[in-house]
Order: sequence, then C-alpha cells, then structure tokens
Amino acid sequence: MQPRMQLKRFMVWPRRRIVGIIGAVLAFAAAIGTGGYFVGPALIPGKLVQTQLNEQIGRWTGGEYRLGDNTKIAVAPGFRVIVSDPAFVSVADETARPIMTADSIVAPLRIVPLLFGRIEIANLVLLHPGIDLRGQAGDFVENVNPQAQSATPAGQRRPPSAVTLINGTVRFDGATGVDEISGLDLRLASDVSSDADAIQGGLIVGGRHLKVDLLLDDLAALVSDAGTRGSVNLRIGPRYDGEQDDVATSDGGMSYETTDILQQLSGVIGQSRYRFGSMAAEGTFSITLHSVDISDATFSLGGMEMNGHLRAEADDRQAISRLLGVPDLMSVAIVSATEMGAGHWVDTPVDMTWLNGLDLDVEMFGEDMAFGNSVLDAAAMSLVVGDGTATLDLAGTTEGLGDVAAELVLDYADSEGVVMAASGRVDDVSVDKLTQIFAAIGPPPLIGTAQFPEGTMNGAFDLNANGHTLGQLVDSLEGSATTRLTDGSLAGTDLVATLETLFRGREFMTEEDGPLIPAAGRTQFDQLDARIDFASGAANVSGVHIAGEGFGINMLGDVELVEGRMNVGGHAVLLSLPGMEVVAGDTLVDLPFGVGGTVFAPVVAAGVPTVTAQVDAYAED
Amino acid sequence: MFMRGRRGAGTNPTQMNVASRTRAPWHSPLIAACVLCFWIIYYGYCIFPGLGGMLNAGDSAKFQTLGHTSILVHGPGYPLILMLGSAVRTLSLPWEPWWVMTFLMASVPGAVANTMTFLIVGRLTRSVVFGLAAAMLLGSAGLMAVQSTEAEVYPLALAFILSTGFLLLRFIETKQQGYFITACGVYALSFGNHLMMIMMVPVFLWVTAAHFRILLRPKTIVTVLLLIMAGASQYLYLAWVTHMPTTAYSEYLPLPPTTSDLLSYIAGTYFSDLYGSGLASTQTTEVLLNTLSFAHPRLSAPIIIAGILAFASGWWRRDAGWTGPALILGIGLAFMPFILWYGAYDIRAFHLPVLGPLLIGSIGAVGWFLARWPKARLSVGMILLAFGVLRAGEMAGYLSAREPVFDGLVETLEVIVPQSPVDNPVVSMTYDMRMATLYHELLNEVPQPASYRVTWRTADEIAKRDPVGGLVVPTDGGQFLQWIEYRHPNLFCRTRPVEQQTGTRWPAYGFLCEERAFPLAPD
Repeated sequence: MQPRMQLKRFMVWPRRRIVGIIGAVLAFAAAIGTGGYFVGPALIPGKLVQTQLNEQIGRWTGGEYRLGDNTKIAVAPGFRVIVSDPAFVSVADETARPIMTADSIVAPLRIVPLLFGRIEIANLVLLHPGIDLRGQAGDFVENVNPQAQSATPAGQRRPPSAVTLINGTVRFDGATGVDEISGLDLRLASDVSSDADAIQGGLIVGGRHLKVDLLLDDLAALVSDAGTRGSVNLRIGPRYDGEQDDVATSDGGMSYETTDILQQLSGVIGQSRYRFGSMAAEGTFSITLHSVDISDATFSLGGMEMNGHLRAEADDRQAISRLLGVPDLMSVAIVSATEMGAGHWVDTPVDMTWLNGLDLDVEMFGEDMAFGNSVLDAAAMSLVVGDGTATLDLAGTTEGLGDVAAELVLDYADSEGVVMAASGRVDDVSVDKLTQIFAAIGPPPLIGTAQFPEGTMNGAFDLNANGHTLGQLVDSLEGSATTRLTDGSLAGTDLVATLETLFRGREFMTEEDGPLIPAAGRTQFDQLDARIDFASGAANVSGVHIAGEGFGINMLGDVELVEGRMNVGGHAVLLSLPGMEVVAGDTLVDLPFGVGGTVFAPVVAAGVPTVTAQVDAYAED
Repeated sequence: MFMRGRRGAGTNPTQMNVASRTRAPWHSPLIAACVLCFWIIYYGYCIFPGLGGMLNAGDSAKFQTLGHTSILVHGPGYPLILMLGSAVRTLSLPWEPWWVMTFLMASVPGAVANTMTFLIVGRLTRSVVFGLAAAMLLGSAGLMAVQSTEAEVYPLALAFILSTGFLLLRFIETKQQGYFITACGVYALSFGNHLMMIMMVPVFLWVTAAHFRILLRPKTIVTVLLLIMAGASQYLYLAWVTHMPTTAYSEYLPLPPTTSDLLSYIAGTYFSDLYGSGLASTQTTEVLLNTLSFAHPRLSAPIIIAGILAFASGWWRRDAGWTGPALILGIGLAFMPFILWYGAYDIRAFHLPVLGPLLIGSIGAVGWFLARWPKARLSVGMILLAFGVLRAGEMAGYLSAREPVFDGLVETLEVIVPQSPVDNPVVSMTYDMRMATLYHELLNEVPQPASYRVTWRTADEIAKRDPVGGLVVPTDGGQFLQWIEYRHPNLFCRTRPVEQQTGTRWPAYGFLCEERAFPLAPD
C-alpha cells in the first residue's frame, strides 16, 4: 500500500511543480555541459594530448617524426586540440630543419572515449602546412621504415585518424633553385571496408591544377622498393585560383585552330581551357627518394587503355617532382608548336637539359584504341631516357590506314645542342585517309573540304639533325625520304584533259588568251615515285616520276626548309589519247612547268609547251 | 488552278488578303526590317580584313579597286557593280574604299537575301519562327557568310534571285499582274550583275505557261519587253565606261574596244575553254555536293533531303500551296546545270545561287509539310532557329579569324623594285598579287617607275624594252624567262638574286636579258 500511496501523492503533485523539477534538472545538465565544454578541456593534461598527437604522426610517418618539444598545445572549448606553430621534427635528429611546419593544427578529440578517461584524436586538420623536402630534409622518404607498420598484423591495428591538409605548400630542390607545389588540399584516410589507404584532394604545380585520387593497399609500402598495389586517377586542368593571367599565358595560342589530335593530347595533360584532362593508372606503385615506379600497370589516357610500365629515376632531385614538372614542359612545347604559323617557330629552343640526371623507362602497348577519329588496331610505344639520350620507338597498325613504325633518338651535347636521329617506314598507308587526318589541322572548313589526293603509300625515311633551336634543327637536317604511291590520283586538276586542250591547239600566255587555266578534275596515276634528300637546310626533290595512262610527269628542284621557298621544275608529257595508238617514245604534248613561291602558297607556272603531233601552235607566224 | 487543294494547310487567296491586312507576324515589315538590320551589322562587323579574301583574292581585290578608281573588270563586265563603284567614288565616304566596296556589293545584298528568305519561308510556312530560322540558317551557311563578307558578286545575285522568287510567289498566290511585272523588272536589273541569271528563264516560262490566260496580254507583254530592254541597257553604261578617259585599267579588253571586242567580252569568250568541261568528270558534281553538305555540317544535307521528300509527299497529296515550295526549289535546280557544266577550278564560288534556294526551299517545304501539326511545326522551327543562332555565333568566330592575305605587299615591292637590274622594270606577277598591287598602284602607293603586269600580259612591255629586265614575284621556277626567250629568240636571259626580308610570303627574282651574239634560228 505504501508505494501506491506515494505514487498517488506524486500523481497529485501540481503540474507546475513537475515542470519546475524538469526545468531544474535541465538547467543543471546545461550548467554541467557548459562547464564541461569550457572548463573540461582545461582539465585535460597537455602532455597526454601531445603523446596522442605524436602517436598519430608516428603512424603516418612510420615513427620517424614527431612534434617539436616546445610546441604550444591548448585544448579549446569543445575538446578541440589547437596546436599553434607546430613543427614536425625527426625523431633521430631533433636539431635538423623540421620537415613540416604549419600555422596550426586543429584536432578534435573523440568525446566517448574521453568519458572513459581515454584521449583519442578524431582527426588532424593542418592549416597552411609547409612541407620542406629540401636538402637533408628530403631524406624523409628514406627515413620511413615501412616494416615498422607492416610488422603489425593488419587486422589488429586501429586505422590512424584521418589527416587533412588545407592550403599547404611543398618545397623541394628543383632544376632552378627551389620548386614549389602550392594549394595543397589533401585528405589522407584509411578506407575501413577495403583496408586501403586513400589520398584525395588537389594541388597546384606551376600553371596546372592537379586533382588526385589515390587508393593504395598500404600507404607505407608505397615508399619502399617493393611498392604496393593501388590505383591513381590524376586529373589536370588550368589553375583557376584568381591567377587568370597564368592561364592566359600558358594557354596562349590554343585557339580553335588546334588540331583535334593536339587538343586531345593537350586535354590529357590538362591543357584544355575548359575541362580537366584525366590520366588513370592501376598497378604496383613504388616511390622512393630518387625513383618512381609503376609496374604491371594499366594506363588510361584520353580514352586509350594501354598496358606497360613507367619507371623514373633521378639522381639529383626527387623523381616525383621531375615527373610533376612534365605537364608544364609539355604545355610550353605545345604553345611553341602552335606559334609556328606566326614565324616564331625558328627560334623555338630545343632543350633536353631538363632530362639530365633523369632515367626514364616507359613502355606501353595496347590494342583497339580510339585515337582522334580513327581506331588504332595495335600500337606500341617505348621511351627510354638515360645518360642524355632519349629513344622513342613507335609502332602502330590501323585497319585501312596502314602500318607505321618509327624510331627517334635524341642525344644532348652542349656544343651541338640536341642531336636527333629519326628513321622509320610506312607500309600500305592510305593517302586519302592520312591527308584527311592532316586536313583536320587548321580551321574547320568554312565553305567545304578540299579534295584530297588518293593512293596507297609505301615509304621510308632516315633523317639526322642537330641544333639548339627548331630552326637550327631544320637547317641541319640531313637524310632522305623515299616514297611510292600506287593507284592514286592528284586532286584539283585533270592534267590529261588540260594537256589535251593544248594538243587541240589551245593557246595561252597572250593578252587575248590569258593563262593556262587547268581543267578541273582529278589526275589518275598508276605510280608515283619520289625521293627527297635533305641537306643543309634544303629539301632536294629529285626523281619525282608520276606515270599514268597516257601521261607522265617528271620533277626536280629544291625547297628551302626554313623559309619554305620553292624552286622546282618539271615536265608534264601527254603520250597518248584514248583511242590513239601509242608509239613508244612519241610525245603528243610536252609542257614544262615550274613551281615557285613558298610551300605555304606555291605558284605553279606553265612553260612553253611543245606540241609535236600538230603544227606548233605557238610559232610566231 | 494551283490553289485548288483538296486538303492541307494552305489558305486561299482571299484568306491571304485578309491575313495581309491584319499583318500576320510572318510577313511583318517590322520583323523583316529587324532581320535586315541584324545581318547588315553582322556582315559589316565580320568583313574580311583587307584586300582580297579567302575565296578568290584576285577578283575581290579587283572589285575593291572600284571603290577609288574606275576600271574594267573581267567579262561579262558587271555594269551594275561598275555603277555601284561609281556611286561609292561620288560619295567619297570617310572609310577605306575596299571596306565600303565590300560592304555595299556583298554585305548589304547578303542581308537583303536573308530578309527575302524570312519573307519567303514565313509565307510558305505561315510561321514567323520558321521564317527567322531560315534567315538565320541561310545567313550563317558557310559559303553565304564568307561571300557576304568578301568582295564577291554572288550575294547580290542571290538577293536578286530571292527577290524575284518572292515576287513570283506573291504573283502565284494573288494572281495580281503587278507582282509578275515587278519580278520581271528585278530580274532584268539582275543581268547587270551576272549573266548566269539567264538560268532562271525556265522558271519564268513555267510561271507564264501556268498563268498564260492572265499574262499573255499585249499590255503585259509590252511592259515586260520594255523592262528587259531597260535591264539590257545597263550594258550601254558598260560601253560608255570603256570609252571614258577616266577608266584607268582594263584587264581583258583593249580600250577603246571595237563592238565585236565588246560583245565577245560581254559573252565571256575569254573563259570559253571552260564551257562544258565540267561535264567531262564528276568533279563539279562532287564539289557541289560537298558545298551543300558543308553549308552547315551535319545539318544542311539532311535538311535538303528532308525538304525535297516533304515537298514530294505534299505534292503527291496535292496539298494546297505546293506551288510555293516548287517555285523556290525549282529556282535552285534551274541554276544547277550551269554549275555542273562550267568547269572552272574555282567553281565553288558559283554555288550560292544553288545553295540558297535549295536550302531555304527545303526549310520552307519542311515547315509547309508540318503546317497541319502546329505544335510540331513550332518545335521544329524553334530547334532550327536555335541551331541557326548558335551557328551564327560560331560562324562569326570563324569569319573574324580570317587573316589578311596582302599585308606587307607594298613593303615587299618597296624592297624588291629598287633591286631590279634595270630602271623601270617589268614586274611579272601572279593574278592575285597583280590585282592587289593594282589597288595600291592606282592610289600611287607602289614604287614607280615600274610596269606591274600579270604574267600573260607582259609581252607588249617586253617588246618595248631595251634592255629587257625586271622582276618576277612570286618566283615561278624560271618559266617566265623561257617564255621571253621563246618569243624573242635573239634574247638570252639570266636570273638575278633579290635580297628580301626573312619570312617573306612573296619570294622574288630579278632577270636581265641580253642580245645573243649568234641568234638562234627560229623554230
């Protein structure tokens, strides 16, 4: 009865009193909470926090780095650890320059473990960290001892708390003084489900903005010779952080005239004005101080998927920094190339010094790859750079387009500049398809496409050159190229029909008759042989023979390569007409012609024709 | 008889008169004026920067010369353009003569052609959206946009063709003779621009045959004959120009000419070698198909095919108003035989009179076919209009990216002419370069004394000279000297190098001919 009575008494308590009690409880809780929020942190011993911080830093760095001793640590209201002016120093050598400094570190503590008296850091946020990989501090990578972590069975260790870098910079020794990576916004975290380490974020290298998405089985193993399986997706684009001038200069000349292919290539390295280029690789990654190695890998570049490996070794600087500099170097090269039309191309420097001390070994091969508008059935590329020599081998087969194989060897010598040797051959290449690809270079056709020559081409070339600029390279070009086209046609003019009008007595080069206006059409030929010899800055066109039904053309002359001036002469000969008997050695019309002007605007001039089968229509009387 | 449709979307003439009184938007003069202004500003803004152009630099530079000096151009003489040049010289506007000439002879007519397109297609489809879409698509079609911003005669030809087409369309609709007579007047005037207009005669014959009861009346016949004579009389102006002492230059016609010279000049016998040669191969057909499909890549060819199919199906069903699309498409087809027959290597320039009517006739036929589904017509019209607007923006970029072709020409001549082996040299040039030089020569901007000649007009000057010497620019592989020695077997010619600035577009060589000690026996 007693309890029931009490309950009854309680139930008869006035409602106001109940509200008052609840209010008091809430006020008490709020006071405790507020007190805890503001005062509690002050009760947490800074030493313990520092130990925790060092433990986290140790986990990520393999136990090699920790906070400097005189670091100021405060626990702010809300159990947020604030570290002002932190410096990460080497455990082995505390007097050495710190590997990293930052404006501050903010590290929220986990509340629940705190209630049980444990201090655990939820994650580390580093504001404006500056990572210094210069000089001795660059031994960071070597110091890391992956075994320290790998020794712990993976299942037992708790994943380290996530680390977020906000607007950081990395300094390292570059080719010209100190290089810098800025705008570093990265998040390092462990993916609990896959037990992989993930790095996501962005950074700015030179004029480019890189977005990184890296997933590794074992982050610590990345910095070992053994490496770790993983995948990386790099997206590169122009930097948009208010430094528009940079974009304008680095993208100069990339207007719509750029070829589809160049645009595709440049898109891959983030040259495009509008979108990010994407590169992805999946394989075994290994980064050590002087080397970057991606082996057993699949690379995806602009829609092409290729298998192969990439290994870069640098003896003086961090290999990775050398690789990160490549997009900028390529963009400079592309801008130079697109300025060719403006006449500056002659002075474009050709430089290989940036390759000094870098050993590069890239090999890729793939099948059925879309490239531009065509599909490469098979392609293989190998690039080997070492000891001041770069060797590039290319081979490709495309259904309907033909086979191409080429080798380019570049050597660097201070006195001669770049020494280039290129050789290769093409087999069964369809000229009309090839010219259509080249025609895609330049502005899109405003009023229609030009007509292209046709035929099947076989040829070979062997060229050598050396120089410090593109102009010097062209000037020193030596070697030869031979080509044979079969069953083709020249577009624009019907030569046979034009010669036929001369045979019928047409006159020209007089005031009344005007010039020889060629008949529109195509000139079908059975075979075209041409040999071009390059020597001292000129292309000597020798032995051009075109033979077709009832006609023949011979040509020889010079083309000055740098200025493009042409001085070519030849004869077009009409041997027979349909329905006429061919007499060997007999010519109906012999029309000499010259080609002058420049290769950009050639001038074809008709000479004095000899019409043998008729009375010479050009006799004065 | 044509308007007796059993079903379909057309209106009968009475309804149409009511419509015109209430000013339906598809023939609103205000919208038409806006279309005209838009294209005048657009083409004026995008005019090719300087002498010449990408299509036919020599001819364009020659027409531009008319802006400051009276000259004779190539046959058939283009008296209307000569009159226009005369007006430009009289006005002496404060802008560069080349700009004014290009603007007045190509840009303004191009804008007029686009306005006529709006009126024609608006009328065929009863849809202002379709009218605007057709005007945008014609105006931004590659060949049209290029020719309307360079000194070419074909935008004017197209303006005449479409104006005539519009008037004939009105005549077919209303049966009012006034429209037919005005059409004849515009047509007669158009012969002062280009003689290829003769290809439209079958269209007139077809319209006359279909309406012979209305048209074959003495009064009408006499009026039309008078108009034809008035049109032909433009060639009297041409004859007058040939006898004017102020005419500073004639390329193909000795001045003053005999009557037979003048007639063969007007008949264009100079180019007679090319007549019919287009039929010798499939070249002209291939190039025409290429032009039609590249007017708007991926759009123009399908829409022309769709338009012809829409017309065929509507015609099969005897939809009312089938004569409208038939007239416009027929005009395009009427010019086609000329294009296929004339074997000029630069035949593409002639394609506008085929491209224009075929393109807008097809768009009109599609809209006409869709008329019974007003929502579908509106949607398709909006899609075409949006495409046209985007394409006009894209084309403006392409047009503005064209670069001058004769920059530095005067400077080049100032470098090379003083290096001539003789005083008062003969300077043999290609046609394009000669025409651009002519523009500057008649403004006294090139080094003198020197005789600038196109290669095949040097014979007289060579015969006059002693010693014979001069310059060849651009180089020609030495063929010019062969011609001199051929025509003058007593002469022996050598080349002389000429110093030029690096990167020149016009490499040159000098030449000097001497008497042979032992003249060759003539062949």
